[in-house]
This record gives sequence, structure tokens and C-alpha cells, in this order.
Amino acid sequence: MFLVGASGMGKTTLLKMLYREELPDRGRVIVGGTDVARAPGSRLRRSMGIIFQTFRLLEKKTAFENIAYGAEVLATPPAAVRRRSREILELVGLGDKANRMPGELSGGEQQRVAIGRALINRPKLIVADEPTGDLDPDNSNRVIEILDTVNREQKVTVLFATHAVDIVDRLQRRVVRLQDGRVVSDTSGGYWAGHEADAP
Amino acid sequence: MTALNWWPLYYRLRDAREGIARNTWASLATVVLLTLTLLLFGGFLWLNANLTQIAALLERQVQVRVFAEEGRAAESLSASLEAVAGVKGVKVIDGEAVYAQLAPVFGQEALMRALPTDAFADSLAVELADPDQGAEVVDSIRALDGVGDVIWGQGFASVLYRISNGLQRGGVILIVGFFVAAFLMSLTSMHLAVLNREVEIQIQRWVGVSPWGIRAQFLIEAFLLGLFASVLAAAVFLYLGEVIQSAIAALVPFMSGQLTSPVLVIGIVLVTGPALALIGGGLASQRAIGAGDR
Repeated sequence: MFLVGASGMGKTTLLKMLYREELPDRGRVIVGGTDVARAPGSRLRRSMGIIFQTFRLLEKKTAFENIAYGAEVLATPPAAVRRRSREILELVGLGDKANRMPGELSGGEQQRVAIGRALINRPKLIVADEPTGDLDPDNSNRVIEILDTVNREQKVTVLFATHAVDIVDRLQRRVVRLQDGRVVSDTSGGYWAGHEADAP
Repeated sequence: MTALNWWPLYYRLRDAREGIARNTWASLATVVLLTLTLLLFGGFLWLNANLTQIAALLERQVQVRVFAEEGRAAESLSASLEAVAGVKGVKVIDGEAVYAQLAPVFGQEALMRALPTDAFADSLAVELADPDQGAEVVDSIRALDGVGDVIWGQGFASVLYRISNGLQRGGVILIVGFFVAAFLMSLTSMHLAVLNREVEIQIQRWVGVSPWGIRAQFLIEAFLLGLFASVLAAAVFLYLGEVIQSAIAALVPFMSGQLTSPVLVIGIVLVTGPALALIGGGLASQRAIGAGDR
């Protein structure tokens, strides 16, 4: 599902409310049947994977260790962490770069490590806040392919905030449009579905 | 029965070790300052524990020994000595009793060879009400009729008392100062550790670690620093304790074996170091991470 809208329309704020980084002034936010305002933030976030435009990797850990770290801090036994981290590295196409440090990876590869870290604890929902914003078209496509695969094959809901028209048009999924903090449309199809008159 | 899961501790210890290594200089400064503080604290505690024994020694020093003029019985001076202002009590010391006290020290046979059994005259032990006024009281005693020799520590005891009291007061101020400095240092060190790991903290929040889970890493790190400092201080204290006890035994043989063992003090030092560091780590992580599960 795509969350679209121009900059400053409230995409990031809405996503932050989903993982309880911010609370709404009015109304309620329900995630997976849980009222976000009433749930402990840590419990809520355990069912999510969060990806940002900036990768926020640990510079002194390898790609493998960065992914594993997400599971280790939740006290997952080492054997399970190793197994799952290797699976994830294959999934994000970095099986051969497991021991590379973030500084030795391209921007797209670093973002794939960040996606791997978000996937390590088998989340039910991926919240991606403009994850392709800093990437070139090739790397953007790679990131989109991974998230599409995760959505289709692992049945993980992916909420993808973006204003990249080409990505939205290509995948033809549900599109929720925000304007001035309000949902102005909830359609399926391309970026301008239901707003054809606004298209350039 | 569910097996105990040690992985959280394993991961936290590993992260704490990495954190200390990354924050080397601040960690080192914390350990040094904590060690110094604990050494002072331990030394002060030990000194206090031994104060009873030292006080007994000093009390003996402030006694004035009065001998009667030749041909006059010591007992006959008791009443006039008790009437002197500043005298707290008077006790007759039998010369034979003094001889008997010395016999075990020098050996009965050696003492018999050196001195006849009536070598020591009877005397009066005068206890002073106020050691600071000793000189005036002794002058008054010397002026009494029938008094022969007056033996007094020539003010040494009162000087020792003043030094001892000064040390106690100064010691408390010094230790409080060092405690404050050590606490601030551990607070700063932990604050730096938290700042250094801003990204780790964010990642842990995103994947759903509770605030206490995140803070655990910093608390363990602080505990390890405190433990290291206290073990170091305890080792130094144990060594110095032995040296000091040996020196005292050599200088003042009758104090040998009467000094309090430093084991209890070492135990207190071992607990105090980690506790102090934990408070610093707890406050620093509380400020940065908070305790509420937002």
C-alpha cells in the first residue's frame, strides 16, 4: 500500500503515529486491532519493521552483524539469529557481502541491509518512510522488488510512503493520498488514480 | 521447568564491553577517580573502626602520673589531687602491680636480674577532664605540698587528639568531595556512552526493546566500571592494610593484633563502587532514554 502526497502533507507524521513515535491530538490510531495510544510502544513495535530514507546502520558492524543486531537485542538465541540473518541476507541479495562494513557498501546496498534489519524479527507490518528517496533508479528498483517479494511471498503488509510517481504507477497497488494531513482519496491503480486532473 | 535464558545477559555484556572499549578515556577516568574515592573512603572507614583502640592509647597518654615526696605515702595525696580543678579521677597504682605487669613483657627472670621487686614506687594516676588544659592542671599538681615527680606526656596527647579530630573533619570533607567528583565522572562517562550509541538506541526502540531493556546495557556497563574500580581499590587497600599493620606492629608492639581487620571495610568498598557507578549510569540513561514505554 502506498501513502502518497506532496512534502509536508503528513505522510511521515502518520507513519510515526503508527509506531507510536507521535500520538494523535484527536482520534485514535489502530494497528492490528490495537489502540496505539494504549499499548506499550515496545510491544507494538515488535510486530513492525521500520525503514527510513537514511539507513542508520552501525558503522562498526558488518552487514551480517547489522541485520543480526535487530534480533540480538530482543534476546534471540545466537543459532537462530545466525540462521535467520543468512536467510535475510540472501533475500536482500547481499549473501556475498555479509562481511562488508557499511562504508564498503553502496547506498542501495546499505538500504538493503536496513531492510534486512527490519525483516529479521518477522514483522507483520513494514513501515517504509521514503526508503528510495536517496537512491538512484536502479537501486530504487531493487529495494522495491525486495519489498514486493516480502509482501507477496511472506504476506507482510508494506506501507510505503513516497512521492515517486514511477514506483507507484509500476506496482499498481492501493494508494492512499494525503493532503494537509487528511486522507483525500483511497484508490487502486497508479499515482494519479482518482486525481487525473491534477496530473502534470 | 523452563531453562533460564542467558542470552540477554550475554548480549548485554558483549555490548557493554564494546561500549567501554569505544569510550576508553572516559571509562579510564571514571575507574581512576572511583578507585581513589574508594581508597579514601575505605581508609577513612578503617581509621574510624580503629579509633576505639587509638582512643584507648591516647587516654593512657593523657594520664598524669604523680609520685609522692620521699617518705610520704602516695595514697595520702589522693584527696588533695582530687580537689584540683580539671582532675577527673585519681587512682593509686601499686608499684608491685607495675612490676607484675612488666614481668610478662620482659620475662620474669630477666626482670628479676635487672630490677629488685621494690624498684617501682607506688604512684597516683591522675585522669584529666580536658586534655587541652593538661599543662595548667599539671602546674597546679606540681605546686601541691608533698608532690615529688610529675610525669606527663608534655602535651603530646592533646596534639594527637587535635590531629585526630582534624583528620576526621578533613577526611569527611575530602571523601564527600571525592564522592561527588566520582559520581559526576561516572554520570559524564555514561552520558557520553549514551550519546555514542544514539543509533543503537534508536534501532533498539524500532525493533521493540523496552526502555529498561535499552537502559540495561548502560547499567551493566556502569556496574562493570564500578566493579573494576572497587576490586582495584580493594586490592590496593588489602596490600596497604598489611603494610600499615606491619608498620604499626613494629612501631607500637602492644597495638599489634588489636587493629580491626580490613576485611569488613573491603566488603563495603566492593559494594560501594558498583553502587555509585550504577546510580550515575541509571541517571544518565534515564535522562536520555526515559523509563516510560513510549
